[in-house]
Amino acid sequence: MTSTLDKLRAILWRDLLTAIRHRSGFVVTLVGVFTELAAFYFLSRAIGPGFRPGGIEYFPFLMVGTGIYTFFVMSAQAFLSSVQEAQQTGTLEVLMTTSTAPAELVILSSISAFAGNLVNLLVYLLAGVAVFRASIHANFFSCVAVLVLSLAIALALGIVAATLQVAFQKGSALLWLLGSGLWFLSGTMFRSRPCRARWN
Amino acid sequence: MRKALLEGQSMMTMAPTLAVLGCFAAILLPLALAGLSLSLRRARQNGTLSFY
Repeated sequence: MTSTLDKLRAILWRDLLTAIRHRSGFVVTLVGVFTELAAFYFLSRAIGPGFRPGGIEYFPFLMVGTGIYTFFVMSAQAFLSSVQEAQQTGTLEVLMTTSTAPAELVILSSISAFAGNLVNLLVYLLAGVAVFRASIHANFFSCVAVLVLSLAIALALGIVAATLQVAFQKGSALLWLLGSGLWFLSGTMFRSRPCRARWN
Repeated sequence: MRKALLEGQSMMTMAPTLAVLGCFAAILLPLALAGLSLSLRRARQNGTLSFY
């Protein structure tokens, strides 16, 4: 356990130093966050205040939906990319000869990108509230509980994508399915429940 | 997340949703880890680790 934590600390430190060295990445990400939020803000204004899915204003509804959607898809992408990169550079086989368990190796390689996605999600939500005045009435403990459980599920989906890449070289297929399926079924931009009720 | 963040629902009110999320996490995570270990072991045995 101590050994794993030491490895985790070393990997996070390495990736943090790399990120600091390439600071322009932060700026590009921030610009992306604000552009996306601005697009959703003006979309919600164009649609008008009459459209309130589930009684919620449309902009906060969109902000939470797209933030969580992006977090899930990018987290799965992080695992897939780390495996693909290791395969293409030929480092996967070398790493497998070390004393670190293979599954632990894959998870540790992706954990920085995973943590980065979590930070992105928090920045996205904070920017939506602070800059675009999204009205929220958050319950702290419920938010933490949902976030922790969502993290576990996102981690599992990422591991499944890595598994498919190693086993069948088709991790990107799962990512595509996850991307389009979640976008349509999870209620990212509209409530999915009324559709189900109508079909029933 | 919308219920917790936008509507401020308590954990008690959200218990059914949290239970569903917890079940998903409790089932998916061990299965995914077992699947990854299995696929890596098979890829090492078959020599297909670097196939992409």
